[in-house]
Amino acid sequence: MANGYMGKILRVDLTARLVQTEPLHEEWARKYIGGTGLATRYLYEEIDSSTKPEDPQNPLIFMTGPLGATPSITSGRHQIVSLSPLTGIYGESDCGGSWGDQLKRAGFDGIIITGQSSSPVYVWIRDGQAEIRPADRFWGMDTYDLDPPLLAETDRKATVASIGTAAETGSLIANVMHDGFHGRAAGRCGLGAVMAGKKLKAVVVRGSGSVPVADPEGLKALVKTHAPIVADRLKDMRKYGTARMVQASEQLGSMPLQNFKYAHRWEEGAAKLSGPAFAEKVIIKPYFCGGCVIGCGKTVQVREGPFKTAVGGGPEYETIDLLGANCLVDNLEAVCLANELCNRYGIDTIDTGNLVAFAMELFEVGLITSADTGGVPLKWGSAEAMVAAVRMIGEGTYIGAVLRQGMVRAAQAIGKGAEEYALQVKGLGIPAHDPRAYNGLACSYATSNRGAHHLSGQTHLYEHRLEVPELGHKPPGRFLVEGKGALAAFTQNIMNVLDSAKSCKFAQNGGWTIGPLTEAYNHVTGKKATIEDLILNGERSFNLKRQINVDRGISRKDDTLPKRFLTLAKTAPGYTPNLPPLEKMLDEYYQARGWSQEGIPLPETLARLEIP
Amino acid sequence: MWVRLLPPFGDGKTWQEFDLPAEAGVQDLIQAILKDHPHLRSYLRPTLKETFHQFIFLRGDYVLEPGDRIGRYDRIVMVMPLTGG
Repeated sequence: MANGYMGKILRVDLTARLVQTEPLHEEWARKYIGGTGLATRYLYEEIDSSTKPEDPQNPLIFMTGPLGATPSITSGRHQIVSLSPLTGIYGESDCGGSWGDQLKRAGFDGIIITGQSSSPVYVWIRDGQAEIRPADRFWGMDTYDLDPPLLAETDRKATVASIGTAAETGSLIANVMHDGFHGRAAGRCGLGAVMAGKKLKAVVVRGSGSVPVADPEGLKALVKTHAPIVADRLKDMRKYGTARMVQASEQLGSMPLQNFKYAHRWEEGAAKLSGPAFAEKVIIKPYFCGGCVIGCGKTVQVREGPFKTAVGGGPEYETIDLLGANCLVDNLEAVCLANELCNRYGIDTIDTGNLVAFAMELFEVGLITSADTGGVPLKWGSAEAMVAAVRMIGEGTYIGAVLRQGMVRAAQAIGKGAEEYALQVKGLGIPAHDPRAYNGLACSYATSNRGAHHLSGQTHLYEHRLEVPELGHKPPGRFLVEGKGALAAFTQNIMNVLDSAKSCKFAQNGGWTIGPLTEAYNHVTGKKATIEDLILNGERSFNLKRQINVDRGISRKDDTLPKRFLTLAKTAPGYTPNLPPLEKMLDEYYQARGWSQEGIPLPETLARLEIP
Repeated sequence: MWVRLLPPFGDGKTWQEFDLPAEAGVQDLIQAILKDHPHLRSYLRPTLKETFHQFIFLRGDYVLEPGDRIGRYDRIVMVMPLTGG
């Protein structure tokens, strides 16, 4: 068994009700590292160009990375990969918590789930053993209520990846939730809908083993050097969570406001949703994913009032800005409740926030009316309306029945020009970082394989403030155009390394960048990889995803942004009225990638990357 | 020039005037702020670059760099930084 890996993949065929173990494909692990890269390589092998997301043979793949469950900093993460029912193309989502570490400790690097059960089931994995169990009595339970009885039936120290009621009832923005009320989400791309299609309610894991590390002393010394720096530079995240970014986002003009159309400043609203406001009102304690020294997760509770919540994982920055600011809702308690509802239903808060804002704009312009909303006036700034809309989406009532199918289908179903207000890239809603505030991010959103996602490239961090000395990288500034296409490609490659080895992207701010990460990878695996070796692996992974998308008709025509971001500048005082020159950046991006100007990887690029 | 300290550094509302010499830099600005707000000393680190992991200064939507000069009529906001996610 190679160091850093458990050497085994669990295969679950739900049609045949068969569970099998197979050896990890070591060559693929070498070329794709683990996590997103390795899962994508398995996906590529399992599907052909005719496979549809809803087909039973579309695999749902959970994959850990070599750093997971080792002392490496912030490595307690795993990736879920499949064809996305929401977008129809490659889908993936990264998740923290403790589930990935437990899977490795249980003796598996990953799980490949195919087929479709005739009745609800869950998979129970414990220390090298796995079985498929009936889940009829759990079907219909939300993700918070599910955990106690499921853990009682398995092991109270186990962790659960599950779907909520939204997936069961056909929502395409359904996610995969983890760790019960702690609410760690693999949020994007509707992967919960893949689970639901397979009649798979949950995957429960408990592991007590350990991961072989080639050089534990070297790893320990590396962690000892870096952990205090990471913890210090991000110490306010322990106190305020990712909400600490809310006010800076408003100041920088990157906050999503009123379905990204608001032309004014929103400082007072941002203050009400800020980290310190959360700390004062609802935060109980920090939550740490596996191997974390930051503790940006927050356990919160709204103790009283109309937006009262249970104790549970609090809203992250994306959630706060999209269910709050993007709907012009400055009610922190309402955002907490909306977050809890999303987590319980098992729906992506980013897509949900986008969809609620979309519906509010449709209501404003008269494309939908109270007749579509059960009498609820979907007015901007109404906390009650925002929460009601979340319930509609989660439960599939009124306009929610349409919205829960995602932005593209919802706009098509509503018609009458609704597409103009539907902000998405490749079918995925826009994260809470306005692409007009970062040219590189705009290019990264447009070209991300899963659709608009800030963590696919995290290009905004690299162009705005992150220095990476080992790469000679200094942030070039947000509004510069030259070089941003190449930067988007480069940062996407790096993020593919982080998502493959499994390392939290926040830790980069603390200096845990690709250099130390490569050192950690070498200490864990015993290899002598260079930074360039790992980035090449990341590039390979990114291109393989593109190839899967090209097989589904994706090309330059799809690498775009909603018209609003390309034509409507933010002109409020203090903001640079920037419009990202996307086509120019795309030309550069394709060149940097070795793709044709139509966005297709050239044969020599595929050959260089040894992509089959 | 005027400075507004967003929470947790200040109340987020008050524009406080500072009289800095011409050609003052970011370090001068920090020293002036610390004089009136000594509790912010815990955010300081050995270098400006390191300190800017604890807070940033914004002039409009421009993030001040360690070597930037402060203008006589600048309005500057102190805020917790972005972390990219």
